[in-house]
Amino acid sequence: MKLPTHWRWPWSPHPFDCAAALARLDDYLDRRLTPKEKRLVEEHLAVCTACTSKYRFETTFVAELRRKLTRIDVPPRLADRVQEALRRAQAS
Amino acid sequence: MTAAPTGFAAELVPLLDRAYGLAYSLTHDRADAEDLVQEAALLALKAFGQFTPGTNFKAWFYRILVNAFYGQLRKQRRQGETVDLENIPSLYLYGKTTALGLQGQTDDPAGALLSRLDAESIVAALEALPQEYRVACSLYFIQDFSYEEIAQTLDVPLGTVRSRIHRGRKLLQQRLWAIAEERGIVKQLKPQASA
Repeated sequence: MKLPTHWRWPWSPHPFDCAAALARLDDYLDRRLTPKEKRLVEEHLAVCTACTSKYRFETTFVAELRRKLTRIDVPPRLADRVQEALRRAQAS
Repeated sequence: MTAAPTGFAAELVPLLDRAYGLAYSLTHDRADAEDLVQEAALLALKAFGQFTPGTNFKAWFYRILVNAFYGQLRKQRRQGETVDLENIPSLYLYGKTTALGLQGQTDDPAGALLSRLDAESIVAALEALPQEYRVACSLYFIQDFSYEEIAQTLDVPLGTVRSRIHRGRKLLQQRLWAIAEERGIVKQLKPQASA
């Protein structure tokens, strides 16, 4: 029997189904969930391997992208160049 | 010679490396990125009298940098490209790596894919985004800004930031997958059928 997407066991202690958990993925990644929402999401993830795998994937994606992008080589004399330009602007 | 405004250099200099990262992700050109940082620094010096001490200097300076970037684009008359966002499903990369069979192969499919892409490829993918998504995603990924800080920097509502990051991330995932395909990375990642 195929269950509707948003169906959940009527006696389920978890008011979050998969759709509700995934709707909060962006806010979870940006650490914007309220403590209550975060707890509800984490309770759902504890019993749902499919959502856990999606959350883990997106969390790693964001973390890896940040790690790589903060490794962009900065020209060694950038600060000197900018400070020199500021000194010249102030002198003129 | 006029004395330096109190606190200006002390506030600015620690931000320069990250500001360069942001400028590079916007321009994708090292010389242009340096010029953009310098231009923003000079504009900030000129406007420093309008900065309210105790407020977020970083967001204030990045707003100047982003506006300087938009100013350059206007001069170059570069139009933002239009993209079809509706046809990109959510969790794009997750779906692609699942279809490839990578989810069963490794505990960390996102890491397996991204470890094979260098920073240049990621900047190239960012550069391919329409301007407004590129700017919001650069602030989000490079500066690790919160939605509030991005809203403050770009002077747009929080909902706009949320939407730009959400859509930008989808587009970025699509571009990164395309780059991984072009470079043969997807082929390398494909699980081999056991003999």
